[in-house]
Amino acid sequence: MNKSESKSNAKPILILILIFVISAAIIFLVNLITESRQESAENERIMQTVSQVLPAEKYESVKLMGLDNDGETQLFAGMLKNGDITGYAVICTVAGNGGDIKTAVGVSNGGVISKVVIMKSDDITPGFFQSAGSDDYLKQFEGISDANVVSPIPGAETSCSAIKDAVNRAIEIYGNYQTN
Amino acid sequence: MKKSNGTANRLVKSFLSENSVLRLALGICPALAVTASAVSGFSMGILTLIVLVCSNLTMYALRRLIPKSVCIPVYLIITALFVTVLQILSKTFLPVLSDMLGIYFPLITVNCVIIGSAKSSAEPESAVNILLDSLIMGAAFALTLSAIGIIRELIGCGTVFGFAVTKGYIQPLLLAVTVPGGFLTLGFLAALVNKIADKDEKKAAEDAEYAESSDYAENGGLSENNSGEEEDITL
Repeated sequence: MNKSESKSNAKPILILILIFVISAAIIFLVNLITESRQESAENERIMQTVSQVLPAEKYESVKLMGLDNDGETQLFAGMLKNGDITGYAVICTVAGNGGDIKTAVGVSNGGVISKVVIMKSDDITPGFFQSAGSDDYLKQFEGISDANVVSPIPGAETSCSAIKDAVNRAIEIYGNYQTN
Repeated sequence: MKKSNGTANRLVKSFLSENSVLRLALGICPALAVTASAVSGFSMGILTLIVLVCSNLTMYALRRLIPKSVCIPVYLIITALFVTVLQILSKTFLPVLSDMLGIYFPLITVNCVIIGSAKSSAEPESAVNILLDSLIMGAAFALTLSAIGIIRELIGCGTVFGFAVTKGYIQPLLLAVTVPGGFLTLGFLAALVNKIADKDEKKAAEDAEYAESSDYAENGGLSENNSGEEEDITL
């Protein structure tokens, strides 16, 4: 290979590397600028969902301990202004049919489910007649303290089972904090 | 006037005879995966349109700097750049959109509709032409995805863009919002577009044939003789 040939081969490689570096720098800059806003938007979204599943006057993040601390589950205590706890809101991720389902479950005093909300799902399977993520299905969990009494939707058993797991997990976490 | 007619023709062609999804079977993956609702189909279409326009214009601006041998890899990097920036912005300002499209958001980078236009953007055309082509192609893609989304949402949930249409009157058929429902909708829509496009093509061919024959009759069938005379003169 002579000198001019190697020079002509090097040019496209250099251009490719240059464009790659410039693109990476632009992405880094955009990410840097929006990072803090992204975090605050996510926190705002979580607090909005928490207030939706568990009505209270103020909320406090509770640190999960022991087996409950899987790094993804978040726990919030709903309180009155005087500090009395009205219940807990549990945000956790469970495995659905085609991906993860992030749920928020509110458990009010007495271990009764106040509301279930699907925050994010990669795939919620629609059953034959009703979707596992539909309000009609999720409403069935309200006012009960055992998720197993809710029947799954035909055709969407895996998604229903995942939501049921999330609700049972919230009840279990609530029980652990009540006994402690 | 002639120019606007040309643009209109290109627009109609992109929607019908050259429809990337329904006629050329490009970008089928997002057309099936994210069209369970009209909003998600429309959003995916608009995002693809933005990426297509930005990538093609950037490639056009850089065409003299980029050797042909690395044209496609550079195009992919530029497309990935725009998709990533859009995803970051969506996560910041419109997290619902980012959650709704999920993994299909970054996959816009390898959308066949975008890759298919990579070659044309590096050709020495005018920037206006590139912009117009990208807009037409992107708009056709967005419209197709929206149409699939509207049909699936209407049949599957009885709503369109979240607004109740047949909800409460007709029992929704949830099959429409499942993957098999996506295939069925795409198939029926493709059949319909093929039927219309074939009819148009047939009509255009007949018109051209008629124009040719009337032209021949007007010249009294002497056009060949004329050329013959010319040949004689040249000889």
